[in-house]
Formats: sequence, structure tokens, C-alpha cells
Amino acid sequence: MLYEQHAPVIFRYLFTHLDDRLDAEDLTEEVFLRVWRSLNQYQEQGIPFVAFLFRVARNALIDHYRKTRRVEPPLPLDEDMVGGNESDPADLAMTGMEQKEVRNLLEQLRDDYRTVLTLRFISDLSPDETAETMGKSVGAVRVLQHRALAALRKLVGVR
Amino acid sequence: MSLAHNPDDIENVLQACLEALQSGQETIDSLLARYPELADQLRPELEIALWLQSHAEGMGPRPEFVTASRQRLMGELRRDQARERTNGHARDGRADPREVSGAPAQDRQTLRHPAVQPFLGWFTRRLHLPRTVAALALACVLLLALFFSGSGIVLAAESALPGDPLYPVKTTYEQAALRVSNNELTDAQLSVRFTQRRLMELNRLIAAGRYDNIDTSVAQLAEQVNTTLTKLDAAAEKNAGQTEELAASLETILSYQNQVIASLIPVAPDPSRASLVKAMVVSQNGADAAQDIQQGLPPRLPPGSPEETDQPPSAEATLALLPTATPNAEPAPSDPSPTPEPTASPSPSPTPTRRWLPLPLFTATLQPTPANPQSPSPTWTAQPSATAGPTETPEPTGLPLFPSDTPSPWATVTAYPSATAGGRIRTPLPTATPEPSAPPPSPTLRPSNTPEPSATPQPSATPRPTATPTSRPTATDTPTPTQTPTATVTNTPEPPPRPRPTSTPVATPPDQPE
Repeated sequence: MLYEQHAPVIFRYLFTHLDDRLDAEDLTEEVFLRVWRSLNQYQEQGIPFVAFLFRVARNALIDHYRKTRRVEPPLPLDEDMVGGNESDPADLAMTGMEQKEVRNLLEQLRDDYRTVLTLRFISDLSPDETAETMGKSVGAVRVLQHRALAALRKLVGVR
Repeated sequence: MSLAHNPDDIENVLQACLEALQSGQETIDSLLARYPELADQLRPELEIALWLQSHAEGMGPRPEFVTASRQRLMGELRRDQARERTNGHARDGRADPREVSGAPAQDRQTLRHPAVQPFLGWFTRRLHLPRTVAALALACVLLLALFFSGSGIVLAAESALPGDPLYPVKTTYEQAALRVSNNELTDAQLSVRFTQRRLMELNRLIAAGRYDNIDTSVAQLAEQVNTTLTKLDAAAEKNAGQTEELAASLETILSYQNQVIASLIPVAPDPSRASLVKAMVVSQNGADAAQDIQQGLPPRLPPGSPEETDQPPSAEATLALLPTATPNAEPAPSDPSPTPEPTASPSPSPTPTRRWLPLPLFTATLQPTPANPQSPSPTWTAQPSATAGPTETPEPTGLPLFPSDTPSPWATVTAYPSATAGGRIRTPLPTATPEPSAPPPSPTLRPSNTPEPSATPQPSATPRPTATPTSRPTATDTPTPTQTPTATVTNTPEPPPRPRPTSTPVATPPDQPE
């Protein structure tokens, strides 16, 4: 149940940073595997679990970027997972293009802007959780959120 | 809200506004009214935040992914443990089968942590479990404890869909929330939020291809909309202003949903289309009733509603979505005045402030007709029941529901007269920048309910049709919207992903390819 609760949230975070849904799914699994393997770090850090989860996700994302930059093969996938690539037409019609649009817009923002917007509005973290995840104060997150929204709004206006 | 109106403090005001919006207690307009000096700055940011949030759900994983990946994850953890067990034995030569060494080194450190040992010992001794199993049990307990500490199972159930084991938990929680609510306005706010959930559930079921559960979902939606309208009606007596805003939100939500469903019906499998049509009827009528509430009109009763006929409520009556206790609303079933508004030939109504939309589908029974020589695709025929038919409505019987050259009753549900009637502009992406190549101006959805001129240009961030064919392969026999020239996009051969409110039928293109 814990996994079912948090996996979609982590997936959204990863998906906004990746072009490929399968990559995001794969990386989501990787994140939880890492979390399991580093539970002792979580206990030692004493931070909220969600924040810990997102830190692991962020690290996994960085590792993924490094791997893909070196043109290494993506993380291994089980065969039964790959089969899910054929999205049904309804899924395609409803979400595909808009998701891409959202991700395209977010991609044009500064890293910290994109992160704060993703955490706050896509992954639906609270300001406190966002602050913990980003390693910033709540006040700093508020300022960042304000600027990021303004930047996104400006970007939308330009387009 | 008690934050200072200091312009330097806009970050805090913005945060407070966002929280109020997320709680469903406020609308953008009501918030901006509190901060008029910051309104110009706040509005675009609040709108873009809402727009972003509205896409969060669609950016989630496939539901089947979560289930499948959890199983894979568990398998991976078991393999981890097996590997570690083997490595541990090879390393120290001590073949203790109860040694917890299945996890990697750092996991073993976790399990050997002084704080963990007493609990692990308790599991091992009291439950007579091997240490491996005890360690797993302890980990599960810890995770569950974390989980439950954040309102646990309810949170988990929030993502449940009709047909899921946790779904009853979700609805029970909602009922409990309504029960503990202490005033009508809160009831209405909660109900609007729950309506939005029902809509999201329906969308997610469709997106997941879980068409078997769509009937249930639509029934849930109908019931919820009915409840919400009743709550809004009750709240209006105490607090008309805020109730109007809530009703406006409900109308926006439902109207938008109508467009989403309209775009999905052509690609849905045949057996599900009737359910989706019902969902459209539910949304459309709910939106209309919400509009009535905003205008201070009493809620509508459908002809043949239980109150009027003393008949037990039928499925159709449930789908009629109307409050159940309104003594003065509508004429008897034999009264022909309640007339739907088909786009092709709007019927005059003796009561212009009341509109019955789309009545043929209230009581129509949708049945597939086995063959239609003019259309290779499966067609559906609306068969109005004896109690339904408004006499001035085009006879729906025999008209194909799906693409054909003939206007169909479908048109009655895909038209969005309310989108312009209230002067409200709805657009999924708030923007002030006109899109030079945008489709013709049409009423569109926007997060806020602020009335604006209906000639507002198309949102610039609307996905451009040119991206459609390359977004994903469409390896299916069912025509997707990208293959279906609909009336919503008149200047381009391909429609946008979400249809805009339009006065022309969305699902009845003249030359839909099969």
C-alpha cells in the first residue's frame, strides 16, 4: 500500500523530467529498490519519508542522466513490463499531447523552477515537504514557487 | 485569511491563495477580491498553478504499472535476499539459515542497528518466526506505521477506482467527511470535490482501458452529482454568494468533463460507448443544473422523475441527476415544454430560463444495431422511452449515434450551450497571448470562473494538432481523434486533444474514416 500510494507521485516527478514513460516507470521501480536498500540512511537522516523518497528519486534521475549521456543501455526491464508500451487509444487521446506540452514547458524552465513546480503541483507535495526535498527553507520555497509560476506564465504567454 | 496585503509579501499571499484553492474553499475570484492590489499579479500565477495541477493526474503512471511493478519489486527484493544469503555464507562460512543476510550490506546494517534489534528479537521470539521472515515483517510494520501516520489507508484509498478493493474505503471516508461536516456550505464544498473525484475516476478508468468498470463509475458519478446539486441547493439558502461560486466551479468541471468524454467516445470500444454517453448526459445536465443554481433558479426536475410519477427511481432517473426534493420545478411528464436544445434545430421552450438538456438521452435506451450499410462502424440507436419524448425534439430513433451524415441525438449532448450562456470562458490553459494559428474562437475552459469576452483567443499552450500524428503510434483499429476530423477544428485536418466547447456536434463528423 505504501508503494501504491507513493509510486504514482514519484512517477509524476520522474516523468516530468524524462521524455519516455517507460523510462519513468523503470526509474520509479529503481527508486523504490534504492529506498529499500537504504532504509538505514532514512532512519539516520530523520527527515520525512516523502522527502527521503524524493531525494532518492532525484539521485536516481541524475544517475539516469549520466547513463544516458554515455549512451549506455537503459536500466534492465523485465519483459512483461515492456509490453505496456502500447497505450490504448483513449489514453493516447486524453493525455499524450498535453503531457508532452506540459513537459515541454517545464523543460524550458530553470532546474530549480522546474523542480519546485513539479514537486508542488504535479507531485502535490506540501510546501514543507517540498522544502525538505529540495533542502531549502519553507520561505525559500515560497519565493521560488512564486518566481517559477511567474516564469511559467511568461513562457506560456510567449508561446 | 489574515495575511498582510503587503506587495512585498506576495509569496506568502500566493501560498495562502494556493492552499485555499486546493482546499476547494475558495475560487480565484473570491481570493483576488481579498487582494485587489495584488490581483493583477496573482491571477496569472494562480491560473497557471491550477492549470499545472489539472495535468497532474494525467501524468500519473498506468494503473496496471503500479500493480505489476510492485510484484517485480518484491521479486527483486527476494532475489536480493537470496544473493546476499549466498554471499554471506560464502563470506564467513557460517551457514546460519536464520541469519538475515538477504539484503545488501547496508540493509544488514539496518537490521543490525541497535534500535532495530529489540523489535526484531520480539518478532523472532514471540511470533516464532525465522529471522529472515521476522525482519521482513518488521520492515513491513515500519513501513505501514509510516504509512498510517500520514492518514494511511485513506490516503491509499484516495487513488482507488471503482472495482478496486480499496474503493469502498474511499467512498466510506467521503460519507464520513460529509457526516462530520457541520454546515451546508461545507457539505457542498466537499460534494463538489467528490464530484471532481468521480470524474477523475472515470477518466482514469478509460485511460486504463478498464471499460468493465465504467458502468459502475458512471452510476457513481450520477449519484454524486445528484448529491452535490442537492447540497448546493441547501447551501444556497444560507450562503448564496459562496454557493454560486461553488456552483460555478461545478459547472466548469462538468462542462470540461463533457468535452473530455466527447473526445474519448469515438475511440472507446463499442460496449462502453453507451456508458460514456450516459456520462456525458450526467455531466451536461449537472452543469446545467449548476448554472441554474448560480442564477438562483430552483433545481430542475426531469419529466418522469420519481417525485412526479411515484415510481421507484430507475437508472435513467438516477442519470437525470436532479435533486429529489423540489416541489415546484417542472411540469408533468406529459408537458412538452421541457425541450432539449439540439444544435441543429433548437426548440422553442415556454420557459426560456429552464432548459432540458438532452432529454432524449435521459430516457433513451442505447442499443447497438447490427448493421448499417452506410457505415461500417458499429452504430447505436437511441430509443426513447414512452415517458421521455419531448414532442418538439427531433426524433432520435433510427438516427445513428456515431459518425454519419445525419445529425444524431449525440449532437444534443455534445453541444455546449451553457458555455456561452453564462458568459463564462473556459480554457484549460490560461493565457493572454493570442495564438495566431488558433482555431476559431470558441468557448473554452479555464480554471477561473471570471467572466470574460467570449472572443478570448485560444490558449497558446494548447497542444498543436500538428504534433498529433507523431506523438504515439496508433496501432489500433479504432479511429483516434487524430483521424477524425471533427467540427471542433474547422481550420485544420486534425482536432486538438481536448475538444473545445462548440456549438456543433463533436462526434458526428460527416466523413469519419473507419
